[in-house]
Amino acid sequence: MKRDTERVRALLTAANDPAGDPGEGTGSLLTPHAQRTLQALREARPPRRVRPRPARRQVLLGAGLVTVGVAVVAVRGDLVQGDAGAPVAYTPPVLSLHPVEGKSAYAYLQAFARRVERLEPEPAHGTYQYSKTWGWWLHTAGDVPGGVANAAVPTVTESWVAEDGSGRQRSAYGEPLYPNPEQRKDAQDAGLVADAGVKDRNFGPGEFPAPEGDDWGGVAPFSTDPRVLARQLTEVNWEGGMIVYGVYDMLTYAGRTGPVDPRLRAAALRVLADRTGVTVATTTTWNGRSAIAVSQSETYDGSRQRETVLFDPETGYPVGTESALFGHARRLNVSVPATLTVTETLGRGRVSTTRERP
Amino acid sequence: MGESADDWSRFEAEYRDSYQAVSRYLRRRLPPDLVDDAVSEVFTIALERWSTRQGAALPWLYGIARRVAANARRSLGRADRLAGRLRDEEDPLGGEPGADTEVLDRMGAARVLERLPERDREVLMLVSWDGLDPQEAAQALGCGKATFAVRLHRARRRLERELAREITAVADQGSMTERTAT
Repeated sequence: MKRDTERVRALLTAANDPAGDPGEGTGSLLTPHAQRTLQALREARPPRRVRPRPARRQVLLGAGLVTVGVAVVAVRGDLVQGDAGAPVAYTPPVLSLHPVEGKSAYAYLQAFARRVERLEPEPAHGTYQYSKTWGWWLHTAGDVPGGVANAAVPTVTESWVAEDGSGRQRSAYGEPLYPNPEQRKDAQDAGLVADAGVKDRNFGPGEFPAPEGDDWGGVAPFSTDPRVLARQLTEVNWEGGMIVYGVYDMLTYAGRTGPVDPRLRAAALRVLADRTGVTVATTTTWNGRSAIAVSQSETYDGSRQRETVLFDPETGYPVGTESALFGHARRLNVSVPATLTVTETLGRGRVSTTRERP
Repeated sequence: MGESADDWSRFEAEYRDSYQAVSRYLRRRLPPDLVDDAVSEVFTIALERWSTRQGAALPWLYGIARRVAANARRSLGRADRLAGRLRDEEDPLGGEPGADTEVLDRMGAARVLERLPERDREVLMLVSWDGLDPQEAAQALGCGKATFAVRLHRARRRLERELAREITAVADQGSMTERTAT
């Protein structure tokens, strides 16, 4: 390793560092932006994260617009709901979950895993793995004249992905929805509605985007031993212990170019079974399908955020996600309970060209 | 909930010591207009997780920054927007073929790295521009030292293959230029 390190350092020197001159702004002197961030952190502590999935939210901190994909909501004990008047919610309905009866979550998931691992592997005819998903994300700006502004853009995405990572992606964006119509302009000015119409792109080998993250490629191939798979998940999944998202992302990554081995699907269910704090329920999705809902929750000061992954009860494939808020809406200016993010897989299959659909 | 005054003092001290390093880390991975907000996000998360941190602070902060950068890239809808920005640079080929470092200097090392998978770029940058030793780099990636050693070895070889390919291309270009001129 020493030789590799020395060789890499000989090639990648300070002279060709894209970050520029290391002498800029060194020492403990902070830029004005850094000082504003520090001040905002000092005032807002302790912060509490409210993280929907997939991460598409934008929240303003005192230091400026945060455009990264993960939402951060700074919560202070003296904040009350409704600073901007009566809150308005306009999101898909929160799923009604019916806890499984007569069995613990562990027993239920273990039985589910046994059924799945006995399934026949699916044939991988055709060149491309096709999938169609529907999604809805509540984008939020927290520092606009009227208070908190929200906007949501329903999106249908079709993907065609080949084994070599080439393919096509077509996204159709619906009309943005504004929970508070008076804040439409604020929401637009804050950049909460960036996509419109249809976007249709082709990708060369290795270029197809992986929203669940490229890190999975570093730990693949995934083990069908749940103990080993659990360790592999911890190498990538970091969502504060939200193992449901780790499993969802892993299976999504594994299934992007072809069918997922039923033994891997079963192992993923067993990883969930072995975790405490996981609940299991049955539900009907927004598109009328039966699903098994596996959930984890985070609670803080009267506010609960429930993160759920939906599984096909016949195959064990993940078919959707929901992030829902209950109790205190904090600064989000929505009526609770409210969905913050929903996704659902509408179809999947194998095709020969990127112009076909199953 | 709420940390003690001592906790805040320690956090603030670390913030002042590490802000520039984290900013430079993100500048190597994100478009410039996203860096400031991404740095804010990193330290917001760091403050929240301050009481549970383990190991040296800078690798821990880099681990957070790596995922913040990945989230930022996903929210842009592209795996690596930096690649698209670099593709707009002028063609650096031409002139005499040079050694590896000359190629890197002429092309811009970032442009050569852009041809490698994201996970290779991360490994290479951590031990070079990001200034970590291999053990710290493994901590930043959240993997064991042995795993990191394997990843580094593979990444180094891929980097050198890309450089060799580039040197060959420059040599071919030079030969064609000579034939055309004579």
